[in-house]
Amino acid sequence: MQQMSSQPSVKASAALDAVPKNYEEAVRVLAAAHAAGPDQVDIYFLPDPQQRVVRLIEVSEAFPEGGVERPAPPNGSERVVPVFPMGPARDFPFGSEIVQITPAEWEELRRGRLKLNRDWGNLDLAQKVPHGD
Amino acid sequence: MATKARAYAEQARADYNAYVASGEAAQPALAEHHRLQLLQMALEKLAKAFLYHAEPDARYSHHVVLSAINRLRSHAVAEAAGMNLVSFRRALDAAKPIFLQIEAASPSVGFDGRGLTREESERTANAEYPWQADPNNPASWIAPASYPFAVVKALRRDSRSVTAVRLLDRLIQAADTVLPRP
Repeated sequence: MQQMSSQPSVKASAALDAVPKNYEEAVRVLAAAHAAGPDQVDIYFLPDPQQRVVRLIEVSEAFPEGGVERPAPPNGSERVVPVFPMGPARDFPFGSEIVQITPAEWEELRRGRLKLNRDWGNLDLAQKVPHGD
Repeated sequence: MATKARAYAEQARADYNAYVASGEAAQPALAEHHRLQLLQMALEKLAKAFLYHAEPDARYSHHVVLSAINRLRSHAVAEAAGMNLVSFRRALDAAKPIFLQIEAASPSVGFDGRGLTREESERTANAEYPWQADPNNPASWIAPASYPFAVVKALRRDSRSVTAVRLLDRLIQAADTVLPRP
């Protein structure tokens, strides 16, 4: 697992007020926003080759399980983790796709025993985002 | 016709409007437990609107409100609710405990947000069905109509609860803005 490392962490409050000027800043702003709570959250980022959508995997013991059952052909069901997509805003000109899971589910995702409901490619490319320092 | 997510948001609006309308007269048109049930239904449908936006085929039965609230911290939803993300995040955090109390008025949800079995449901206070306070006492059943729900008192007297209900209104409005149209 890699770690984003090229820039110092942005303080959460400042990050939340700033309109990100580029994709990497957008990743940091959104991660800081989502980490700015009382619960410990580890945040991983999967790059979008087009740099239009910020994709974050948020992992915390405080989250309810993110996996859900859905019907699967022919008569069965499968467990998937829904990706929560949202469009851009005036102060955040990027789309976002968020996954919130428990540490155990993150382990299952990485081992391929659990899957997302969207194709994000190889999850081993996820980079840990430093935040809140 | 609408997507599943938008249909849930539309029904959340209808339930919320019925909650507001039922309390406007000097003599409320509905008893408090019925009004609480409307508010719980509005909140549940709003939460499911956002969850079905992520996965329309999923079966959501546990921690519906908490799961939705955790995922709403986006600039787009904040903007649609008329706030910046900082204010929106604080508003969600402040409303969370009140939303969880309202969610627990459902007969199928416990106070920890967990889905209840039928047996558990028959032992747990809710706004719809009677429950048994003492499993060893056949005369200990309580009707919602005669039960003083703590959250109802809070909705009358506690400004944080009133603010949470107003946030629910904004979230339903935001759902209409951000959820994609077919």
